[in-house]
Amino acid sequence: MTHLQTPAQSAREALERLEGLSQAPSAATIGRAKFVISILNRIKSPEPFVFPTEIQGVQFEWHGSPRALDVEVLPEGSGLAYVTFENGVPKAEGEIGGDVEMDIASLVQWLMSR
Amino acid sequence: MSANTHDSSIPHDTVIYRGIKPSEIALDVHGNPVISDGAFRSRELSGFRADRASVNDVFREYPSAFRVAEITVREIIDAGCIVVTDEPPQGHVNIYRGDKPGYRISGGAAGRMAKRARLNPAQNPLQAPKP
Repeated sequence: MTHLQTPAQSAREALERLEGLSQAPSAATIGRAKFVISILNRIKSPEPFVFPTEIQGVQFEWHGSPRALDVEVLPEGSGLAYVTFENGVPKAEGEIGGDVEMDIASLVQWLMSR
Repeated sequence: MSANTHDSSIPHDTVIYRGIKPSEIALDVHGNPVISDGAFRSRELSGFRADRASVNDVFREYPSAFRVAEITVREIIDAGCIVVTDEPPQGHVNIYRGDKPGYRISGGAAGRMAKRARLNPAQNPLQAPKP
């Protein structure tokens, strides 16, 4: 079973902090990040860490062992991307398309399934 | 030194310092700092050789840094990236993705570096995170 680090702040609290940064993600990007959080709540996902990205996106990160997961909200409507890790090594990387909720649920299920 | 060429004169066990901004660190419920994988994701990552620069040099040259992450050249290469000398300032290097220098480092490579990186205990007092 993957052991995950639990962030001190909830994803929603962390996202609110991002809105106050000098180079904050746009309102549209924050809105899409809130949509991801609503999915995570619905599927009862473990709480992720939330960080800004250099290109004004938002990244959700689950830090764990042996598995870890990043889901990136790309800026300005350019979609979602993910990377999976096992024992610190990247396993799969790609875009999330189609049914976003189903794809995110599958990634979280993979994260927790070992 | 070409901008696209790995500097093979740097020993692989050389530690590279990378400045980490307050927004690139979060705490877990036990108070342990966690570095964002995104802290290593850029078209060009700036860093300093630990054998030629100090942590305080990093804070001086990169004042937005709050902490300093340490990673070896070997760990950078293992992530598929290259290290290019870019002095001055003394000890300065740039890190690029190895297959497409100048393109954004992939999420997998960035995450691999971040997960290998160790945080130096020093803190930049001018960049303490807001409560």
